[in-house]
Amino acid sequence: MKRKEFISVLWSSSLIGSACNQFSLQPISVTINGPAHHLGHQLRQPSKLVAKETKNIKTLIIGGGVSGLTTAYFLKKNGYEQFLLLELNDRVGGNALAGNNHITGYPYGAHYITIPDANDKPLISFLHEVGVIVGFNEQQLPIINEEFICHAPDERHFMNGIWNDGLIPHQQISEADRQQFQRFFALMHEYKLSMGKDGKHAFTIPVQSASMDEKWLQLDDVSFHDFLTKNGITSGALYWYINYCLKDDFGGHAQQVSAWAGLHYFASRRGNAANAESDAVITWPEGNYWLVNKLKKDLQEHIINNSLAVEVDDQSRDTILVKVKQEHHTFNVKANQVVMATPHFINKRLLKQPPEAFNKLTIESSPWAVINITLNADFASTRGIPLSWDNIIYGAENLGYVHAQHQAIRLPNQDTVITLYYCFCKQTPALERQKIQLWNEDDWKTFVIDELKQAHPNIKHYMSNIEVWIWGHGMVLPAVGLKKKLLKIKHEYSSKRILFAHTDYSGISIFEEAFHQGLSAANQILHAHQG
Amino acid sequence: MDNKQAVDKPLLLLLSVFVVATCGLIYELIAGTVASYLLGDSVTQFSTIIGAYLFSMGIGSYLSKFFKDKLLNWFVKIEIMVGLIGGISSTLLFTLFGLAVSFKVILYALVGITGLLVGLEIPLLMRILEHRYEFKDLVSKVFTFDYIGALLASIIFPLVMIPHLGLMRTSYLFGLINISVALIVAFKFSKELNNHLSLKLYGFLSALLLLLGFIFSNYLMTWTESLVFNENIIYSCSSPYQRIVLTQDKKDLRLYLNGNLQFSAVDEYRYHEALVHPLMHQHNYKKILVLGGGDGMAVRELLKYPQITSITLVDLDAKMTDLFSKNSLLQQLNQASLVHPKVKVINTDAFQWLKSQPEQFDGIVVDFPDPSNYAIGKLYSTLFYQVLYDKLADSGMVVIQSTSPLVAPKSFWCINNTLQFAGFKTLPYHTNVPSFGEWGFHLAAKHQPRLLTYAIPIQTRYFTIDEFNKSTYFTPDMKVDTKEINKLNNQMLVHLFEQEWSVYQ
Ligand SMILES: Cc1cc2nc3c(=O)[nH]c(=O)nc-3n(C[C@H](O)[C@H](O)[C@H](O)COP(=O)(O)OP(=O)(O)OC[C@H]3O[C@@H](n4cnc5c(N)ncnc54)[C@H](O)[C@@H]3O)c2cc1C
Repeated sequence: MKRKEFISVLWSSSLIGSACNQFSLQPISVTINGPAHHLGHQLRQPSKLVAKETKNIKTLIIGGGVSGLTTAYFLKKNGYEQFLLLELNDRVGGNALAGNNHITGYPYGAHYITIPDANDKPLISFLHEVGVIVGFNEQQLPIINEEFICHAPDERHFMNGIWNDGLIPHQQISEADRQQFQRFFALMHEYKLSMGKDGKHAFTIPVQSASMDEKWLQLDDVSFHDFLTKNGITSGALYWYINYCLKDDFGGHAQQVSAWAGLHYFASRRGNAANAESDAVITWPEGNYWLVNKLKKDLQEHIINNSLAVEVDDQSRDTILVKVKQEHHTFNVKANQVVMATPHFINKRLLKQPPEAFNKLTIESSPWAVINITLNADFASTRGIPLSWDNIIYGAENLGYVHAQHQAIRLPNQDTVITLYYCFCKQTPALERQKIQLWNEDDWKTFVIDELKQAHPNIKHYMSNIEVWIWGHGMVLPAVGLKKKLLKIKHEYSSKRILFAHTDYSGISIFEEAFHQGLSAANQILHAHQG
Repeated sequence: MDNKQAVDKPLLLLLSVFVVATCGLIYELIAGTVASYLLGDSVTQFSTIIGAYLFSMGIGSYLSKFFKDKLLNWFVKIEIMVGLIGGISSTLLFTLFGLAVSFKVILYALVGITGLLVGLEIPLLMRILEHRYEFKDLVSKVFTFDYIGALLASIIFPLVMIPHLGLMRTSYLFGLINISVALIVAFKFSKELNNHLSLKLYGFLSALLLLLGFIFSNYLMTWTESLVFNENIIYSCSSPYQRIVLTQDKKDLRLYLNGNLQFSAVDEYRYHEALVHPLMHQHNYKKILVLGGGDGMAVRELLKYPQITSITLVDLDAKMTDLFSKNSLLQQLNQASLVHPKVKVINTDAFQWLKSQPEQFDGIVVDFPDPSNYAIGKLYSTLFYQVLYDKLADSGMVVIQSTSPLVAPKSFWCINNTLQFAGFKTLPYHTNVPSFGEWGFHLAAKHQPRLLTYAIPIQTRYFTIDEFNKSTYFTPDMKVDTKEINKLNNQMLVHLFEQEWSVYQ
């Protein structure tokens, strides 16, 4: 520090104030929240609820996550108006919900997308429409709005007492480890180039465009971990990194996730942009809720919030009867067509008489906690690379934290918000759910401080608020064998009247998949309507 | 043996334990506070200081066994020493920080000595009192007073002392209290002490010194601050965004923001004339926007053009614009420009404001701080310049302060590239401002900005059209070939700026 700077802070009374504050026993407030889970139990006894009236509509969408919203968005865009969308929460967004306080918006779940694949024309034109893509260069590469490309410095990791650049620990590991990293990425690159006999990429997003060759599909039968050990991957540091990535996207580790899904994480990205690296991310302070706001912009009169679908009865020939519960009110919706943009475990309960194969399919998902912490920005003054967008702690169980204000274009305040991500996937999802259900405010506080203290030993002195958001069922866990089961279900249970549009049925839960789930359903509806 | 007689007035001695404990902890807190300001990360500073302090107390306790006799003498002597050292500690730290190279050594030495002396006191006292009480009572009494003292110190330090007295006076005050106790003991036990007269004399002299320090601590404070600024501080305050300090000596008035010089009244006209006149000369711009520039100097120059109908100034810091609107000395300097009826001051974030407001401007003056961190680096990015481009009238022009092309040529030309990338045509130029050095600017517009061809009658001290035209020439030492563009996703400028200025410093 320079002399002048020293004096300038020395005399600043505000600092004297804040130094004292840090040592007064400033209470840290803790709140625990989640998607309207208090409504969940209502699903168990739909027959107890008596509907007073019946609404008629041509198409009903159940679920206002990205999938359902995308269906609605494309219906509307194509001039199809006869639809309603039901959402159980007080706002649409699903896993891409966000919160905000006096400082900034911050995510409760999904928080970034990647550079779109050049072959994904519908996604590219959507992103263009909403201003994420601002134009195209001579080679037709999309020009991404610079405000939304992750600003520098984007990533850092904490290892051996210091924050280092990027997510991969190049400097801090042994030569043997380094070679393993190289070898792993070379292997992934090979798979990235692989094509099926059907002329499709072996691994690509959306997964519906991937090759169906048995050669690739059989990778669904082994875990990614087994696949890696077979390929000579042994490095502990590398496994930590791989597990970090898998947990972050799939909510499960290499032993749980299939090789087919693991390869989709590491070998499917072919995004290319005029003004960003192909591995860049696109993000907003409030995360993907920014996209949700764009999707829902013109849908006001179609969305009904605070409405829980409790039963879907498709026994009658020409209409489907959906029972809907609001806080003080139960009604029926009679629709010609229903889009179930809801997770599979809910769909099993909603359908009055689900076919057996459908009922037998279990789609697992780990519970998550997304914890937004309001704290004094000085907390970050640590050795090495300064506070970045994504900050991960090597060796930790958590998935690191994201700095919510990173993408802000205004000068920062003294206080800021970081979002800590934690996927509970050591044991089975059910056991993990049971465990955290019992935690109270103090347990969470201790948990958060413990998770961060390795990199920030004094962090508790800087915190003022902890907002815990719990996802009992996070995203679909692409477990060994799931892909094949999904293909079978699709075969056996698809009707023109009930359409399933949820990332659970992609087997991989990311924005792009939700978008295509929703788009496919919209296309089918529009098609039927026209035809 | 003197210590046998001393036990007549045990309560007094126990009270002195209490005072010693309070004072000792206060000195430690002072050291911790200073250190955390200096070295950042208050938590680390406090814990290392506390650790060092406790450890040296341990050493003190150990060493106490080597004191064989004249225990009461030693007790008084040590108490005077603690008071003296503790009392002047904050002044010492402030002064030495400006002068000494290795400040940490001095800091920990000071903490160490204080801790050592305090550590000596308790065992000595216990031995003095050892025959007065039963051992278990003795231990319980001494430590009770000790810990209550510590509690008192830790409560009054942040709540009472720092807010009301400040660091320096707090340490003088506690030094004085410390020595007073020593003196009281010296008087009450005159008979038991060897050489009590000289002890009392030391005590009085030390007390006098601390008293003077206490009374004149305001002057001391200004003095220590001036050791750093080498100037008289006439105003200082902290806003949520920065520390504002104004200094004055015989001829000069200077503004520092966070310790960085913003202007010196002696030559600021050079900077502000160079910033404004190339933009305004020969152009009939009416609607003007100033981003940053809360000191009102650029506005002062702008107001020389009567055709201007409105000037909007957007500066984040309301403290800054208030100061320059209301302080009479500063009003003289900016000729009350900020309260001129054509001028509208808006205190908000410039980038956000510009992006969200719909109007276009004819002339825009961009006078932001140098890109020394990622937050400010965003104000020099392609995105910012694209927004600027949108908000500029087709025939309008922008001027941008662009750091020193001599010290930081890569940074300077990176700004040029970035402007061009955003669609601007540019005309870079530079000027000499003695208190800053060689300083650079960019004119940028949707058409190619040109050299000036005719002068118009405006009162300037430095600016002429010839001087400006010459200043668009760059000598080879100010030129570098760089292709870097400052984007939000690379923040190239911050890296370049840091590289180039760190070499210079
Ligand atoms: C913690 C976390 C972090 C993530 N991070 C990312 C990320 O960074 N990037 C990314 O691309 N993806 C991320 N994802 C994946 C994310 O799930 C998808 O991107 C996408 O948002 C999924 O959308 P969906 O519509 O398929 O499902 P959901 O979001 O699950 O939508 C289902 C909707 O249905 C509603 N609903 C459920 N039951 C009923 C009922 N009975 N009646 C009415 N409504 C009902 C729900 O409230 C919800 O709104 C993350 C997921 C989690 C859990």
